[in-house]
Amino acid sequence: MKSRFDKKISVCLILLAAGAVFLPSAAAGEERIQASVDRAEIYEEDQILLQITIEGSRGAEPTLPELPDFDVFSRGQSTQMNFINGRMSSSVSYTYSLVPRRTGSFQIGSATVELDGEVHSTSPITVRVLAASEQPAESRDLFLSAKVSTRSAFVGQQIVYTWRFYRRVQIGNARVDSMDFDGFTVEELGEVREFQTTVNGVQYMVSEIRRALFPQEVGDLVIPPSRLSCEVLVRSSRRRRSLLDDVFGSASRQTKVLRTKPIEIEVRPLPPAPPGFSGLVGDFALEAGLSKQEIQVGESVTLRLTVKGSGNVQMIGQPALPVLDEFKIYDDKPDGGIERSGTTLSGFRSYRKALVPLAAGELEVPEMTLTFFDPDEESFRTARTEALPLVVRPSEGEEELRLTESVAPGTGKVAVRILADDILPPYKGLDAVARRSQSTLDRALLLGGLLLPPLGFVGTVVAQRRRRRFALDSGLRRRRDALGRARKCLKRIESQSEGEDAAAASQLASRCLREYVGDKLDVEGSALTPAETEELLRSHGVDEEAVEETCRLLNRLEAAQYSSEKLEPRRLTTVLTPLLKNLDRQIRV
Amino acid sequence: MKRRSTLLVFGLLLGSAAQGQVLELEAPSTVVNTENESEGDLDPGEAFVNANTAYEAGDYLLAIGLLKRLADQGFDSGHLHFNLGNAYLRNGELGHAVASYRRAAIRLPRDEDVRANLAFARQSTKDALSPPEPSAVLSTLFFWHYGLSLKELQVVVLSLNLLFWGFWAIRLFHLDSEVLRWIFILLLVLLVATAGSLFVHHFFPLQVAVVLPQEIEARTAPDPESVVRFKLHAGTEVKVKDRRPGWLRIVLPDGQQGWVEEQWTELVEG
Repeated sequence: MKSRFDKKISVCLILLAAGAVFLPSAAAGEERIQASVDRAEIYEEDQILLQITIEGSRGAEPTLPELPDFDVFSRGQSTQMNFINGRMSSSVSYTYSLVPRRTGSFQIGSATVELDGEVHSTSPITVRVLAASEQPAESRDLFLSAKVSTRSAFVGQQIVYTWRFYRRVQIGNARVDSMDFDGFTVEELGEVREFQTTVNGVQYMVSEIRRALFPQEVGDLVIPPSRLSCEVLVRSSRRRRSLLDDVFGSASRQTKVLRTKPIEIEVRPLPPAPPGFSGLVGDFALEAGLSKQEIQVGESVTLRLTVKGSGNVQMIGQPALPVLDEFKIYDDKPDGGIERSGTTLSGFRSYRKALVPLAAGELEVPEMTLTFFDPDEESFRTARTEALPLVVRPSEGEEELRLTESVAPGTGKVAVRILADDILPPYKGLDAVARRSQSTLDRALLLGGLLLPPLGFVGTVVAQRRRRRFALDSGLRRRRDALGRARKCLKRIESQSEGEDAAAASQLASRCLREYVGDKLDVEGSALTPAETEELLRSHGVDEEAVEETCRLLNRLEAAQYSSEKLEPRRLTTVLTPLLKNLDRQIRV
Repeated sequence: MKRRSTLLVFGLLLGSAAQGQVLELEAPSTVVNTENESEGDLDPGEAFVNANTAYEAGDYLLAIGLLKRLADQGFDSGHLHFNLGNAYLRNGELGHAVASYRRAAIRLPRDEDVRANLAFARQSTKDALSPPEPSAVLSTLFFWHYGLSLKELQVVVLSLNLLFWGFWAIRLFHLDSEVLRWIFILLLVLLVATAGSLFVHHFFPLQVAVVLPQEIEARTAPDPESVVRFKLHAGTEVKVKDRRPGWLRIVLPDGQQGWVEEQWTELVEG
């Protein structure tokens, strides 16, 4: 029995022991989300790293609480996997950097995450943000300052804004996030200046930016805080320095966000302006001068008018000119410049006028004025020039129309100006009426000129083709030349008549006729008999009458050669000529 | 002197008659009737010299009359139209002056005096409309079309025509000559280009209407009762797209169209 009781107690003890071992882990398993911060107390230039770790789920993201006192930036996430006694567990850590917006004590509320349909939340964390000035002076490694030349200004008055970044540690990735000047016109005053200075016995490197601000609205304007972020190298004090630290480094980068304080400026309206107010606010001067004191009528003199000073110099315009009836005035291009490298914005603008006196005498350019508002004296002031005397002597030569005016005395260059324009005179040459326009004749000539060359070309082509054909075909050539050769032959008969050899004339006439028929029909003509001739002529369509006449004549000519019948050579040609023409007309090949 | 006074009287009479017709419109005033002056033709040289003398003496009306008579007799040189333009301009007739200068510019396309006076006359026009002129690209690409007068173009075409057919005929006997072949191709291209230009000049001449009175109305239809679309002023040059009896359909550079009465414009072709 005892042993059975002991067994029961043993089982209970084992279960208790097991419960003692496993219960804490089971309780811990319920805290599926945890939040932690790297520091609970920081200076306003520092930032807090908030880490939220979610156990057991890799997909869920935490929902952050409202953090109106901080700017929140995500710094990424990391996953951890653990194997303990053969069991695997995983966790995901989300890291955020919280940049404080103000000093004080703040509570970071609960971050939540929904896992398996159940909402889990973290415990709130309280942090304290100390003002930068609360840290010991010797421990302030970097800080910002911003100041203005005055906190009470008139509309348009120049306010110099000076922004400085003090540092005594090495920094990287410095970036000015915002520098807004709503309600102001802004002009840069030079580049960023770098210099060294000592504050409370501590030496700092300083970067300085200057801006000239010109308020455009009446009322209380605020220049919002300017923010600068940078990275600072911080050596870890927890880890012992080892040899490897020198090789790989043990320092970590810490992001610092610095802010200036907002600056309030009271902007007052200008008092009621007097007539002729130029719109300039600041300290200005007006200068005037003539390039010569004595000139001749027709010559020009340059009036130079310069406005210079400090203030809203970008507003400088041309001062009003007095009435200058005795002069013709030509404008020249103004020049000017703005000086930004000094402590304030200053500049000048020069206007040049070429004055041409219209008459001789002792003339005068009257005094000129420029009214501006002086914020130091809080009143309007008027700058004046003195009257400029000019002696104009009569022209020595005959006055000529000057088409050019000297606008840059000293350089000798002149600008040509068209003073008047007119039409050019009429044409005087009589060739204007030398030829009367005859449209019909002109058109006929044009048509002829256009058509004749192609017609000539066609003629050339036809002639060339014909020449080629005859060159290639000897029969054709014989046919073409048959009548011509026969006529030549007839001329020889006429010449023989004087020799009184009638038989020879008859023989020649017979040969002429037969050779003509032979040439015309492309056969050997001299050997033709009257019968063959008759047959050939008939077969080529010659009418019966001509055939018979040809045969009869051939027979008579042959008879005349061997008989006493004498045929007059002149009569022969008289008979043969029309016969040959008749045959030539009738023979078709 | 008698002749001059006769011209003046006719000019004034006809001018006032024209003014009566258009009521508020200031009609072209100078219509110099020369029919009654002499039965025969003027001696051209003498008339031209007299016209120049009258111009220099400030008698622009007489100069206009003489030069117009010469033009009616068939004298059609660019310089004659140039002088006529000068006389019209001095007489205050901007529309006629622009038309005459335009005619002179067609006949003397490269004459700087003509261009200068035409530009001067155009400066006096009221309407901000660019005259119908070819663009710089077109006038560069087709320089022979816009840079030569019709007469010059005719001479060039006739010469090229003769050369082209002559070379072709020579080529018939020298088919193997490579030089002749290229000359032939070159001549063919030149002839086609210039003959095409001559064709366009003859059959599709640019018709430009120059407004004569101080103001005329362009209507939506060739009907005096139709709606007035826009108004044009003296000396303005507009392209003519169509013609109906007594009416011209004009096109502005921006494509707007309207009908104007032909009697209030002077038509220049070329």
